[in-house]
Amino acid sequence: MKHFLLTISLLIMPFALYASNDNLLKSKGVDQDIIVQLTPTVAQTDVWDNTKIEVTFSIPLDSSAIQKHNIKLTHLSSKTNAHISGVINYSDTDNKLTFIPSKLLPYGVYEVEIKKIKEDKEDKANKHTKINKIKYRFYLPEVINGHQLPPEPDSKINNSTLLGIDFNNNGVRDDVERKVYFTYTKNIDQLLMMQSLKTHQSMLADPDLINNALKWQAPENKNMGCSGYLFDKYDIPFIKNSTQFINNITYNTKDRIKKYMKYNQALSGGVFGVEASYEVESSCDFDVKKTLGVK
Amino acid sequence: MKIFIKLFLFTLLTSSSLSAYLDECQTDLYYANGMFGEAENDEKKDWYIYVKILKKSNSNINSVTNKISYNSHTLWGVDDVIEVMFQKFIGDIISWSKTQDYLKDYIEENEIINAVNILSQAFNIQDLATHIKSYKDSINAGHGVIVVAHSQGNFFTNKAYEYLEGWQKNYFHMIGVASPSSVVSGGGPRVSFDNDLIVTISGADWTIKNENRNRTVDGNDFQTLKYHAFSYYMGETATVTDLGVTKNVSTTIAKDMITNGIVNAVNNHNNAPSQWRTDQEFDKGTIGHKITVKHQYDSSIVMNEEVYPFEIFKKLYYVSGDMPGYVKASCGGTKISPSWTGQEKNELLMINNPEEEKIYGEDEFICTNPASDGHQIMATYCSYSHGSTAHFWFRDTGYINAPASEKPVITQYLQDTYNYCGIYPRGTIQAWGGESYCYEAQVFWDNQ
Repeated sequence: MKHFLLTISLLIMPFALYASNDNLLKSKGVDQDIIVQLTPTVAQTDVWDNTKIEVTFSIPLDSSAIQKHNIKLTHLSSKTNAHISGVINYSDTDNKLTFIPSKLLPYGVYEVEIKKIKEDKEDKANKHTKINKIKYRFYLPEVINGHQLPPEPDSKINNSTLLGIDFNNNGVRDDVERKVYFTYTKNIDQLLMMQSLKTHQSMLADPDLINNALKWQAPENKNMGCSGYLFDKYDIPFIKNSTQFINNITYNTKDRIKKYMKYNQALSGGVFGVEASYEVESSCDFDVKKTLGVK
Repeated sequence: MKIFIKLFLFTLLTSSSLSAYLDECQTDLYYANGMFGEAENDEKKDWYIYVKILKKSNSNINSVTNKISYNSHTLWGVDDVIEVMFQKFIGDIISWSKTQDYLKDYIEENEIINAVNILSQAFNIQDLATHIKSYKDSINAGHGVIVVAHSQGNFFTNKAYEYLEGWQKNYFHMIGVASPSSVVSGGGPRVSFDNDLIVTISGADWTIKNENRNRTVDGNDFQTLKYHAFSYYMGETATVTDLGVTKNVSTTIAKDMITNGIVNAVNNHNNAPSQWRTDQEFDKGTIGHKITVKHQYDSSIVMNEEVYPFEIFKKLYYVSGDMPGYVKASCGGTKISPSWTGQEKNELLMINNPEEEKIYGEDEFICTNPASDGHQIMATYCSYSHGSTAHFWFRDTGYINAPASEKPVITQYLQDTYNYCGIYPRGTIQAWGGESYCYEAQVFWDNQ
């Protein structure tokens, strides 16, 4: 029962992050049979800033009735709930209604409202079909170096559990991920830090961390081996005080610190080192050449 | 209690094990952390980075590996402080550094003498045993061991040294940093600032002057823990209030001493005698010339593989390439070649170390007896035109390589044993019908 409640709370936690007007799950009319596809999808969280709003219907629409105001896109995260202007198109070959925003979208929560759409009256098979208003939300994250950042979580909720919030489910707590991308400017440093932070988040998640303490040496060595490889091969300097940074942002509550202290005590008496076999490209969990722009 | 500790250690340490490859050219560079031990990954990564940078700037210590002997077992005897510390922090949001700083302050203000006394007398047996075993395993694998010990790590390292075998101590080097102990085992350097609070506990005046001070506005100069961190010894900044001014200060004097100590210790290891000597010899004078080796000091350490004898008094290590195998040679070789540019007729194999050492063909038994009286040639001294090492070949008992400087002693032995015949100039043996590429030849035969 305890585990069940924990699972449920973890599942709904990302959506509890937002104030009521930002509740991503809020929607209306999205389950109508005549809707074939919605882009972005309902409550989608990894939308890019050049997205179009697209709705594909299973029935043809009355193209003569389509007007600019049929699709309304509102930026809920803006102070004024700004409406986004754009161009509306309809393709009668695939019954697709498209709204193209006039500019790249800033990050935040958006609400799409599609209304007053009518079916094609000449389509006799569907002439009694009614299209109800469609309303739903999606999230457009901040992007740094091509990386989509999760939203800043509510610190109280985030720090109430050992693992905190990982909205984009990439293995790094959201507050930590944001801190990395705002602290380090070089993409290679951001990726190195993220790799190490994934290890630390997984360590915190290990229910038997103390007994498994030695097993975590291998991923730790891999992380160091990656930076050693970059140092040897590409002369990329080590990130100064990276471990202190990682420890400080990862272990920032009493429970997290206590678990980490016990982990370190479990390693006491050990002899550890990073063998040369770890200093290879495959120790990096990202595409080194692509990141550095080398062949 | 002491007996129990000794029994425990004995049980843990009596089994000697060899790592995958013996390598007398390798040095394992350990860091034994101190009483303000940071997180394991912190210590390991800092040490890893330091060693990587050190290796890049010192090409002659490329064979160094990084290791840490980690301890944090009782949080310096102040376990109970942890809960108090958490209660003092307001709210839930704290940080790892904040807790570390709190512990340091607590120890400086309350427990420092007790903590150090506890640490100097009561070792965590398990921790110590693991460290000793690791040092022994490194040495038994032919490696040199250098331990850079910080703070409390000095107690551990000094104690570990006591448990090494006598011969193993020749391959063990220690550098004592910020040490609360007055001893550096093996006579290594002690790099400890005069105003480091922990250092003053040792009572030893064997310190170095810290250019940065910790003075009151009245000019009274006090010791402080601010200068105790390993990072400060390694040239990083410390924040202190000196003469009423809070500032970040640093110095590289200790880092330079530590680095020099490491480089010297690596060089010492590279010049240390091999643990292995020749046991048997096979196929002398052919390309398949090999030897087996015996451990000089401990018969329980066994190496069963045959070895290419390039220089039998030099180091034992493994090379890969087309002709993989163990060699006895000067360090730096990575492959063996059967042919190369400039190869002379009597040269069979070459290893690509800086000395380009070679295995030579044998020639003395091809010689005919110059006196034609039926006596057999028993030994030949053969000095090659290059290099300072001479070969003394013995028909029945193999050969030895010896420096030219030892020639008189060995020659005397040969004269006493056999009938000394005299020195022959280059070409003499060929004139007798044999093949020789000796610069000069000295032949001995028995006088039966």
